Amino acid sequence: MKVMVSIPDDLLARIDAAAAERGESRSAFLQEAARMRMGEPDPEVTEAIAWVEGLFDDLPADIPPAHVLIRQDRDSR
Amino acid sequence: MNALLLDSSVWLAWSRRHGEPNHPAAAAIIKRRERRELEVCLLDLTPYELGNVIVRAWRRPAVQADRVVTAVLRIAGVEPLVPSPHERRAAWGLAEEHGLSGYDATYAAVAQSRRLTLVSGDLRLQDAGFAVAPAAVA
Repeated sequence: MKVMVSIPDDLLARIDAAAAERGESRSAFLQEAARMRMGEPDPEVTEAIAWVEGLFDDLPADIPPAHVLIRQDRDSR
Repeated sequence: MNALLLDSSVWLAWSRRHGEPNHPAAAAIIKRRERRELEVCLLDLTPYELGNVIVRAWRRPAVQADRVVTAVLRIAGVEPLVPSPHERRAAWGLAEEHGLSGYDATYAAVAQSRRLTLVSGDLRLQDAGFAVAPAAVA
C-alpha cells in the first residue's frame, strides 16, 4: 500500500543517504525503522537462534567454559 | 544505537546453554539484537576461533561448527569486520605495550578504532580495560 506522509526536507535527505549507504531503498529503510521503533523481533535473527538452540546440550559438564578455551586457543597459536 | 563487537567467547557462551557462566548474559545480548535494540558484529578471525573450539575442544562434527558460524553471521547481519592496515599496526602496538596476543590486540584495536564496545568473557581483556563482561551490556 502506498501512503503519503510529511517528512522535513533535511530529514528526508538524511534518510536517503543512510538508505544508500546500506544499499536499501527509501521504502525498505523506512519500513525497517518502523519495525525497530515498535520492537518487532527480527525474523532472520529468530531463525538463526533456533538453528543453535539445544545443539550442545549434551556436552559433558566438565568441559571448561568458552572463555577459558578461547584463552588457551589464542595463547597456543 | 549501541554497537557491540562480540568476541568468540561470547558467541560460544551463547551457543552452549549449560556449563557456561556467561550464557545468560550472552543470550540476553542476542535477544536484544533480535528486538533490534542493539547492533552486534564480529571480526574476520571469529569464525576460525569458533571452529577451533567446537571441533577440537568440544569434539563436535564440522557441520555443527558450520551451523554455528552461519547463525552468527545471520545474527550479526553484517560481514565480519576486516582490520584495516592502520588497525593492524595499532594492534601490534597494543600487543607490545600490554603483552596481549595478536588476536586479543586485534579485537581491542578494531573496537577502539571503530568506537565499538568490545564484549568478552576473557578476564585478561577485561582487566586491561579493553573489554566489558557480557553482563555489563546484557
